[in-house]
Amino acid sequence: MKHIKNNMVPAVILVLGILSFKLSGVSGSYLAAEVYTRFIRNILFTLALILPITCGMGINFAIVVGAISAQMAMVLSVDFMLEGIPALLFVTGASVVFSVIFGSMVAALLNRARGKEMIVSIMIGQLSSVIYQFVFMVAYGMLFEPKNKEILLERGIGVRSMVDAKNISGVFKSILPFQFDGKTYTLFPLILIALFTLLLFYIQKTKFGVLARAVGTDMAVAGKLGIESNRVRSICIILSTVFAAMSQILFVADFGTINVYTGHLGLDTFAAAAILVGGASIRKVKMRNCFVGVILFHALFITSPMAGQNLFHNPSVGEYFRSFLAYGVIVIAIIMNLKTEQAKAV
Amino acid sequence: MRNKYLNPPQMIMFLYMGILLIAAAAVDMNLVGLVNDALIKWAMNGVIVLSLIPMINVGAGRNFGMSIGLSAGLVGMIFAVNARYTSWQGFFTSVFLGMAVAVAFGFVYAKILNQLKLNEEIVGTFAGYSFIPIMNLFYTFAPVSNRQMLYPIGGQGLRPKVNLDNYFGQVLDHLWQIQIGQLVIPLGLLLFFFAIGGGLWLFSKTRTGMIFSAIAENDRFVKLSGIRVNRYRTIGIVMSTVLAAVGVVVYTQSYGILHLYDGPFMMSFPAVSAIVIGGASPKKATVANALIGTFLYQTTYLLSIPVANALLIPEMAEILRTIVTSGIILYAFIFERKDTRNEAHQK
Repeated sequence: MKHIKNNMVPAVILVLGILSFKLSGVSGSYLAAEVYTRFIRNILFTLALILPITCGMGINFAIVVGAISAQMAMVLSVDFMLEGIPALLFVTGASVVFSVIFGSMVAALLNRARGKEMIVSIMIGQLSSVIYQFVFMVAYGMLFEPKNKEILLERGIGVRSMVDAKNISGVFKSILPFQFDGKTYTLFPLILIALFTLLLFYIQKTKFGVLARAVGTDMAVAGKLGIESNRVRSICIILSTVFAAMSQILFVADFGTINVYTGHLGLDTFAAAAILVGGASIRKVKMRNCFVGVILFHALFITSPMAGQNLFHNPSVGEYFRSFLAYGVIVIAIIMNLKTEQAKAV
Repeated sequence: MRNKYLNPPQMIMFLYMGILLIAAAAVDMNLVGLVNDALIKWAMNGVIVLSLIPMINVGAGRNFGMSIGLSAGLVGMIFAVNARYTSWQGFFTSVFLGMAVAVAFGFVYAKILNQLKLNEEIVGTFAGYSFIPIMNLFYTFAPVSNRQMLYPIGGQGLRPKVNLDNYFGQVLDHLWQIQIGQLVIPLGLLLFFFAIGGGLWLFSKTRTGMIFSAIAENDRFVKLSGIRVNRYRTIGIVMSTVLAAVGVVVYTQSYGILHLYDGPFMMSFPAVSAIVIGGASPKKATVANALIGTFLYQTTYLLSIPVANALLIPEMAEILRTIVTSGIILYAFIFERKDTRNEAHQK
């Protein structure tokens, strides 16, 4: 009983997920395949949120910046007409470089806005996403000429809204493919995810991970112990941004096309909702929260429109329900967190 | 806090407006038409911006959860259009019914925010976001009989966009219009806008208004002097919600289209940005801040549209507007807190 009480949120979502699965009437293998696809597309975004939560900055909605870095690298790779393994190496390298640069900018801003990191990170995400749109819609073709004219719109200014990413998705699809339910999937992303998970696990066990936890627990005490809290926080944000960039590469490689202007939108909310559904709070998180959360949240996400269709003859009901869930779980997490903090203070 | 000089956002906005004016002159724009549009846009968005004032002044932060109040106004308008009320009857039914619904919504919203002092902004953002799907459910199942509001197929669920031309579209815009040559001054609309602004200004001079600013300054001290802080915060939050409902009715009658579903999703950010441009600090906003800010914000947006079209990149106007919006809000979060802290040290 105590176990269920401590894991209230995942338990409720599990019940809702099972209900929604029964109501939707989809087959188990369909759900498994869909969840697998969404798992490899989204898990790294969720893992990217761990370090900022550990060091006390709350949910980092600015992972959008990481996704933008990766999108830039991918559009550039198509522009330079790279193919195959070189393309993949270029995309990975360039997106790490971009995300370290942009991540340190984000960190500098967030360090100036202590106590308001979450809302500031939302605004950073919005601002960087419009600046990015501006660069690709206006500057591309006007200020600098692309090598590959095919990515431009017919008017000669601005990149098309959809760019084919077969140069990297081809590489992904060719490694370790397997058949399931009549479609081909690949195991390669899963290996990469395992590697990144181990890396994150290792980071948390190093001296740096301990410092991050110390800063997250009590910044004033950490400062007295001689920990440069700003530096620790900056590194957490930069690592988070790099993780998000890698995740976006996995996403696009699986999806096959780059949605240049919209591909990076909304993923911050879904990652945040998934990690909170998994049982994390905005101050405390374990890695298993991510895995549980992504699977539960996306299982519910896939089945709820069909459940709405069967129950109310209206698919949008399920859609509204799931977007309510995504935003509502964030509100509830913040409220619960403040309650526990107030209880501690009294 | 009196500042003799312009604050940085205002300087940037004036500079930006200057650049746009030069560019607009280069593309031969109709300047009189521009002034006409600017006046309408000013008042049309102004009431929504004014609605931020009570919450800021009571120390409950900038109202990022404005979509709750906006939804209340939309409910009022749905009722008025469904009853086929036209012209003034439609407008005032929408306003008063919207206000009534907003009082109910505002109380619930205040209940949530009162538990979360100092975190109102982040919670408000997501409370506003999560309120939209709830309202979408309402729009889907609302018992509406007016065929013009329903989806043509199925007969259930409101359309995302309802045209108000046959109901109360532009009714306030066309009130007491003064025509001087080509220049058209929408006197009725402006008077309505100024009346709400004047009401807020008078309110800030009342005892309640004074207590508001005292709470924003130091709520512990006010509490010790025997004032129920939560009660005044509730009043402030309900006022903001009610004014947002009025604001969206004014906005919609001018826009001519009732935009449901995701319509209010991103409306709080431009409003917050406008009041920051006007010089509002996180805990003090005046009516003048709202008036100046809205005018600068809306006029620069208006100017950028023909400039962007002349460059053959029509999307650019919207992108520039969003850059201004989020850049200004980010500025407010990062720099203004520093300023207020310095002030506290100087005392």
